[in-house]
Amino acid sequence: MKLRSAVILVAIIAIVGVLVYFGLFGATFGVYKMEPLAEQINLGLDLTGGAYVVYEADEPDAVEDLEGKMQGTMTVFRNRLDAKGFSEATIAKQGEDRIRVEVPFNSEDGKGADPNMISEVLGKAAKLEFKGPDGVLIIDGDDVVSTKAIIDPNTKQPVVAFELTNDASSVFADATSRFKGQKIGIFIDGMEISSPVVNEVINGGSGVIQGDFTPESARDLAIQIESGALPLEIHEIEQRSISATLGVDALSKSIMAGAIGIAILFLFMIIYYRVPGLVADMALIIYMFIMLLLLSSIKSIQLTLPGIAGIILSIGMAVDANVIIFERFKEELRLGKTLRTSLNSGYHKAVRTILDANITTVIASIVLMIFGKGVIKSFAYTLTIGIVVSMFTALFVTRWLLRLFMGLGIKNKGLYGARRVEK
Amino acid sequence: MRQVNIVSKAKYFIMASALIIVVGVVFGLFGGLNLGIDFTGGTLMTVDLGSEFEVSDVAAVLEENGVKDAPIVKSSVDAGTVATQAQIRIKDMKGVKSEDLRANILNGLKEKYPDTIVFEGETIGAVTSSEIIRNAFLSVIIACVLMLGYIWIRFELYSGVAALTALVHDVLIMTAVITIFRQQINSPYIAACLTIVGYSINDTIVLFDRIRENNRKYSHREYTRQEVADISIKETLSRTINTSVTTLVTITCLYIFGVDSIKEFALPLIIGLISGTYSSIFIASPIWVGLMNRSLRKVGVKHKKQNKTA
Repeated sequence: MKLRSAVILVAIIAIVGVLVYFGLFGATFGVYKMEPLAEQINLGLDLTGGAYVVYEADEPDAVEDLEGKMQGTMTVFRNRLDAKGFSEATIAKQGEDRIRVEVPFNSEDGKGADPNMISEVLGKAAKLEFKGPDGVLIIDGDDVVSTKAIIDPNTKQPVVAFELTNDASSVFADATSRFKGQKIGIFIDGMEISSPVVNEVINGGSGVIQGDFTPESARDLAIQIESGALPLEIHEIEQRSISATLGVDALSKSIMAGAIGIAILFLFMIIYYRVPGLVADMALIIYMFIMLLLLSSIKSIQLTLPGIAGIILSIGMAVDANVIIFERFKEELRLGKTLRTSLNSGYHKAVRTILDANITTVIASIVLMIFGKGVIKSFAYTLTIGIVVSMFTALFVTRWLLRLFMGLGIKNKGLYGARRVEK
Repeated sequence: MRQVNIVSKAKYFIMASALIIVVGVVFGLFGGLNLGIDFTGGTLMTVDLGSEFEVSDVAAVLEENGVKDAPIVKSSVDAGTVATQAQIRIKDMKGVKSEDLRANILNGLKEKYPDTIVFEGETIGAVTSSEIIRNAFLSVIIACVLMLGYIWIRFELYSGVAALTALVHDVLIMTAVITIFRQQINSPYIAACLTIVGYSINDTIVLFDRIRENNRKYSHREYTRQEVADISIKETLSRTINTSVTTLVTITCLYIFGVDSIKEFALPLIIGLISGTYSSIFIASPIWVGLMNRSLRKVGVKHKKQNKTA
């Protein structure tokens, strides 16, 4: 019995130790490589630095096919962001009529910390129009198949080359023959950017837009014409940016705060509750490993600053469950019962308390998870997971470990926290 | 076994809490609530100008863009170094696109201080801010109704009412203390209130669980409910204190070592945790005793030791 308990206990400690080590530092097994779990956690903008902008459709009730137009707008956003190299950006629909764009800070090129830059990339809808001298529209951006920024071989100036659809090509050829020798105005968002004189009829459906361009502005214009004007009128309603230094600082300081808090907790538990305290600490390590595993594997959960607060709070509550059990255990010991009977009856009585207390808290945190927004949601997620996992470790892991310790032959009641036995 | 006498002194505890809340209200009436932009809407911008700067220069740029009376706070990245950062708080302006306004201010600042970058910024539309508040209220009400239902089923209605009263007490105390300290009220504060709503009930349930158990053990004929409550409080005291201390330790560490935005969350949490422990012993239990006695009188249960003050 003694030997069996000892072997199992040593095995558990070894397994947990190895798992925690792999979790923290990663491992390589032949061709399989395991990244450290912490690095796989999806971090929120407040921890990486970056920016987000929330857009809302203007008068959504008056828009026909809002759903489709929202999708269209998101596609245009994606194109514009990709074209500018913001490949890590996420675009998500919020509710019926809102779009949230998040751009994490990119440590390689330093992009992403400035929401004005996102607004510039996304907000600038380039509506291209060619108008005749009489002010009548000839073709517009919808007729353009593709655009490209090139250097005009003749003038050595940056220009935007475009190609038209077949239908538009004939319309354009028609117009250029009609307005030969006259000026055609090229407008971007209603602003005339150049007004070249038509020298010859343009048949092939391709041409160039000349203007006062730099290579960059020509490229930007090309992207903007090609991705088209937004299908929807939108406006910004919310934005936030966090510099990378602030984000990294927040992460490291929270981790430090958590580590110190947990260290104090560990000491408190051992000093106050002796052997059970040590067991609770072991259970807590297992608890934290499970949390790390869940957070890194459930990709839809983003860890944010309030999320870390939720975890730290749930660690406190994980200890709570142990405290409830141990106090019960002590009460039973004081009644003069044996260790094993005390453990069983203490557990039996504590389970109901822990379930009732935690279920009420879980009710509140699930409501927040469903109805809460942003910050509150992410907090509620980690808190809910935390409470469920902590109940598991307190009710099963701690009990199992305590039995093993008793099996080792540690029978001194004083070591289990019963200082005096009331008969 | 030394007796504790808490329930009979309940009126003093209730008065003490009421006093804190009244002081909070007075501070709120005269000093106003320090509402952050999550509530008021507007733009909060922290710019790093790259070198030492004059606040008047920043104010001038703001004025050029039609922003008047915007508070500007000068600060440094690390304590003790030259203050190169300016935090600007701008109210929501009708008819002005916030993205344009921000871009114009940044460009204006760059003219004088070319190295200016946006360090941190936030814009919340007036619509969004009222949504946050509505959403938070709605969540709390739904959560409370569901928790009341659960406690009603597992305990009885009076425990539920007493536990929820203690919750309302905790949120009021948190708001009062935050108002007295003039800490800014933003979404982290709401999150903290919601946490306390979930957590404080935990303590109360642990205590009520013991009362539920002792109710069966100590008959109505021999013990008043007041005595049962006092006995239960005494029996669970070390539990109540230890569970709160363990949670307080971790949150206090967050407050001491964390960054500003987490402090904004941790401080109300600390107040709420202390208040939650206090209220489960000194507020919830007496209320439960009061409600129980009233209903027992109605059904005419007589105690052997009537009017005993324990």
